Amino acid sequence: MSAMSNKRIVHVVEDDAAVRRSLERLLDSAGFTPVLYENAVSFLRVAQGLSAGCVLLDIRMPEMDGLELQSRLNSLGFLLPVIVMTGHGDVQTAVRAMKAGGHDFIEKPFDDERLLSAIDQALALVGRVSREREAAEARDKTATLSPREREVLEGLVGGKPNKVIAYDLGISVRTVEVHRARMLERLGTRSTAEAIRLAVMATLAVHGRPDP
Amino acid sequence: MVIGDADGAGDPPAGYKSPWADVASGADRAGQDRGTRISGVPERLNVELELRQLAAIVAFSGDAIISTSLDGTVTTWNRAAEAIFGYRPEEVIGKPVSVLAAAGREDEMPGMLDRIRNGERIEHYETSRRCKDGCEVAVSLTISPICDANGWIVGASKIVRDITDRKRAEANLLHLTENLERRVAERTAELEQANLRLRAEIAEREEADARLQESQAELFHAARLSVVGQMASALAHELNQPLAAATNFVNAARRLLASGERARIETVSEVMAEAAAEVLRAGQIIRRLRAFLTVGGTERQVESLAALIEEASALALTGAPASGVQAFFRFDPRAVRVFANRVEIQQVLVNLIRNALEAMGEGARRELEIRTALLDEETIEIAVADSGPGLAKEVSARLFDPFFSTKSNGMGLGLSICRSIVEAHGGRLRSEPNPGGGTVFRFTLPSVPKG
Repeated sequence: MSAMSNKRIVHVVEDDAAVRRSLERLLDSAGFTPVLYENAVSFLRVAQGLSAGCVLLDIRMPEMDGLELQSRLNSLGFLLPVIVMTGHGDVQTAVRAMKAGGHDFIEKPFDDERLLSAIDQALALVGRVSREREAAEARDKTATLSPREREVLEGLVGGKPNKVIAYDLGISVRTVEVHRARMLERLGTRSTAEAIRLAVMATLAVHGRPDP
Repeated sequence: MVIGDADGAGDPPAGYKSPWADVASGADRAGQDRGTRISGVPERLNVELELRQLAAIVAFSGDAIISTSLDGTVTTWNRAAEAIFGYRPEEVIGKPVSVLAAAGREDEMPGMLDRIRNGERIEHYETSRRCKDGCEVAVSLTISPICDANGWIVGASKIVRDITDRKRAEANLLHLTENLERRVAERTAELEQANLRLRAEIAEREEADARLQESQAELFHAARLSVVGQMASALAHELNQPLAAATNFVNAARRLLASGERARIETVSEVMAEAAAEVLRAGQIIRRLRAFLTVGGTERQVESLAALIEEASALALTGAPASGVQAFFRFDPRAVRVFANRVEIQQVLVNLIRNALEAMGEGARRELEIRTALLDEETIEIAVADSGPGLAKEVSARLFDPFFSTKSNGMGLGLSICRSIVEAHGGRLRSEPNPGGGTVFRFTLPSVPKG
């Protein structure tokens, strides 16, 4: 199992001691190998030498926050996939993180299945699928959406609640819910976060950087 | 004029007819008009002397003395009668006495004469009579029967006292009394009015005071809401952390149990304890917040100073960019208890601490120090010091002005409300430069002696 474990390394960058400890417990129990960092600086120090695993990054940290860390990692040519943890309802930040090169995002507090599957996916990507490829896949998926469904998805990416989306589009909240459910179905996911991730990915240009 | 003089004995004063002259001839008229006979009239000795003396008394009396026959014809008229009524004797003697009757009192005289005829006396009867010039004069009448030698009533003797002056004095007195009473009544009424107005004003002022206190409490509460509003996103994040951790711990425990390995039971128990601790942490954050948001009355009580400060700083440091900030607490062991409204003083502390944190920003040295000191037996001072860049002079001058703010999203009410709260507690709030750099805010509160 040791060779397997090595491949399932998760680098956890989280300033809150209790959350860090709980992630350690959870990842441990799920058979991953967590490595803990209590701030962005201590992770940056070792980042360049890392060749395996993925990163679970808290976006909100003192001194250097997740977004800043990500842009530093980008400039270092860091290749491991990064999953960003955001506070509840902070979709805007998540979208920014995705555009800044994040692979996925997850809202705290999170369902363990959602976290673990996100980690699984990220780990599966390592060294195999390029970001360009991923973006192309996302574009293919979102291309299947109807104009209305696309509008609803754009509203979600903008961090808007159903009520606001309904108002903006001049339709009822109930209708927004129907479009939203159908949209998730077409994208092959049950998670709004995943849908947002795909939407952001789809906007990325072929070279892996967001459109200006 | 001499009464009862020796030389003129026997002659009545010139121009005066003896009032008794008619009495002497009364016998003649007794047949025509004779009243009741009064028995037991004493025998007169030396009648002439007596008569002269009486005549003199009558003549010079200050009261009018008039005699009439029983049919009311005037028979004698003395000098005072002339003075009072203005009629000379020759004008009225032989005339009916009714010429003297005042308007509306004409019926009075026959009745009186009837009573005299029956032997009655009338004493000090107050009425009015008409003078020759038509004026009325207030008089007091005393009327007695006149008897002839045989004791038959043959006429009436009237003593008329002019009581106009007395009446006028009485009327004046009455008028004065009434005046006085009226003025007393008026003044009393005015006083009552003033009293009513005063009472209404007092009630109004009390109501205004109550309203003021109420709106002050509301203002303090609104300021707390505003502070919390500014802290809301930070607090949401802060609350999310323990919830996320607890969720992770519970899920980890679930997975450990599902793996079915016996050796892991102990680990599961540990993980569950860690989960419980995080749930408690979330609860504490909510409790602190709720206590802070409470609409506190103006109630003050004895509070432990250390507990008050620790709670407030825990809340103020919650969700703040706290890491990297070193917080020091220096509590004077003699400054133990304060008399204060806990919620309001915590509001002051939260404001001052958050200001301090903001002032220090992302600076290299971030030291927050909270000190207490017993200044004297009655006063405790609390100081909140930061190591920020300090205050510019123009900022420092306007620091406590309402609606003055250096923050882009600030209302400029925080410190102004802090000062109101402290002053409502009888204390003072001021700021000064921190000797080591930064700013110190100091405020005082009433101390509660031990015991």
